[in-house]
Amino acid sequence: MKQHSEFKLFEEITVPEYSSPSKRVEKIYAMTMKKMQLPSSRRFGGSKLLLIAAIAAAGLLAAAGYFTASDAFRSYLKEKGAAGETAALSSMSPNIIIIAYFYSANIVNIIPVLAIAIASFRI
Amino acid sequence: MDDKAIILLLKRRADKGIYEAIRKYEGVLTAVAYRILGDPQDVEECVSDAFVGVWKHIDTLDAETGSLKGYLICTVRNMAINRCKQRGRNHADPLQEEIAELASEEDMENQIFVYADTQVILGIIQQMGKPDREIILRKYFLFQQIKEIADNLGLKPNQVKYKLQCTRARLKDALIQKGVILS
Repeated sequence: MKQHSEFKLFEEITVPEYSSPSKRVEKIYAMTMKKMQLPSSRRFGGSKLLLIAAIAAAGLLAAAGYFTASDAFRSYLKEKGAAGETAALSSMSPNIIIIAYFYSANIVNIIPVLAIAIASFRI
Repeated sequence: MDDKAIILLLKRRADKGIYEAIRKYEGVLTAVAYRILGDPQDVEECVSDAFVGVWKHIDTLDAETGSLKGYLICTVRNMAINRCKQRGRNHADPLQEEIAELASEEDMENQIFVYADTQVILGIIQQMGKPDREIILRKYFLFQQIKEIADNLGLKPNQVKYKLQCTRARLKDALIQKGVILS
């Protein structure tokens, strides 16, 4: 490709800092696509698509962790001889199960819960 | 991604081409438009219009020899001037006054920068030597004052004025030869 050195001088002019470059790119892309009457498909491309995939994966892991936690809590209650309370576990609120989850020290399974929290915050 | 790949994507009507062009050139186009318009909202509208323009007229750009950057800069510049003209002449900023003057109906010599075919202008500028080429670009694309140009190029203001006068005359002759403007 031919070099167009005459336009190099444009590189010396600075872009005004009224918004961040990434935000401007997203905004101008959305505006351009709207004017061209094309769907802004790349709006959810790249990192955002990865984020959505991460949320979905974290959701699945969290669901698995949730059931693991309730099993762990049941085992704990059994060990402590509180067998009568096991039956009542099914009627407990999810918050109680999550407390039990922490209580059973199943720290590894908390990662998906944290991933969801962080992802939700970023969205 | 290089310009050739972006141009080919645009020719295939792939919206990825527009995205890549925006990612690569949004900064420089915003800078050029901001110098002319000064208002962030107008600038964003103008820059997006320039990308719509390149999408619509991509067939006129050769992937092998065409400068996407040059094409976009010329387009955004012309669009910004037209937008400025539409605003009227109520500019408190002397730079904006000068831009409005450049786009006025009476000033035929300057009209060439607003209405002449972008590709033709680019071709003529490419053939110019230094510092004439840079003076033209600084004056009519970056809207720098004579003193600013002189400082940047290490010349005296009078030298810049003289060179500008000669270059404009040469440019006018070239445009007459190419049939862009009438003698």
